[in-house]
Amino acid sequence: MALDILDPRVRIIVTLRRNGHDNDEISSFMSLFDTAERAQQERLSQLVTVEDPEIIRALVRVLPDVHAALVRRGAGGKTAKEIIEEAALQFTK
Amino acid sequence: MREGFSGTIESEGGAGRRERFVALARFAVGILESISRRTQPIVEPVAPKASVDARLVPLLDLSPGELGSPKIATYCADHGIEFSNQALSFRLFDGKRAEMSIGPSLETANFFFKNEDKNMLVVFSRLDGGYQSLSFVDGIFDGLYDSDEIGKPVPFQSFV
Repeated sequence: MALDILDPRVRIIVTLRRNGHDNDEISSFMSLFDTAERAQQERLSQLVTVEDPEIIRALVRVLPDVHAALVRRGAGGKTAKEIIEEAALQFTK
Repeated sequence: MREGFSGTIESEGGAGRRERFVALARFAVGILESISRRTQPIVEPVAPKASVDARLVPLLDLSPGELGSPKIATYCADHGIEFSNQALSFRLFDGKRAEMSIGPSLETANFFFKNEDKNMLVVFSRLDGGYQSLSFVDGIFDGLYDSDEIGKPVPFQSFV
């Protein structure tokens, strides 16, 4: 695949679409991408294209909750750390 | 990560995927946290001339084999997007919705746009204030352009 020639943003969108993510999930992830700095964007792009799709899927699913937890910092509910650790349990055998 | 992970994550065997997930999540959290540390204001669009649609508009999905294909026209038609003497801005908020509005002042923003039927410029406005855009000439995909810095106009001179 000639994904390398694509802009990182487009590359991520194409990859996520191929992996079956819906529009909300893609938008959520691209929101993160858009707030990242250039180097971070490149890194995100690499991760999405080479990382295990299941791991990316778990990340995409958990991002909105993590973001919300960061915004309400100290105002009750699960912390970002708790949310991530909970989601990580699915990878424990 | 600021909230501090316990460091109890196993590093080998079946826990490898878990470790990679946590590492990736921490990377994402770092990005999210950096948002609040930034001081530069987000460039907000000026009041649009016309509100087109507040629905979530899927981003245009282009792969190499599809560049210049009728997919562009289909995409526009499917989403009620009209390209005349206007540019469109897709802006993502909260990761949940996208707002589409007509670029209000192309001159001010130094955007180049040609006023023929099939020449158009699609501008993606990033949350950091930068821009990314797709240009088309005679309906054929011409290229991707990025702004170099926040607020800096897309360099379209070469396209004139």
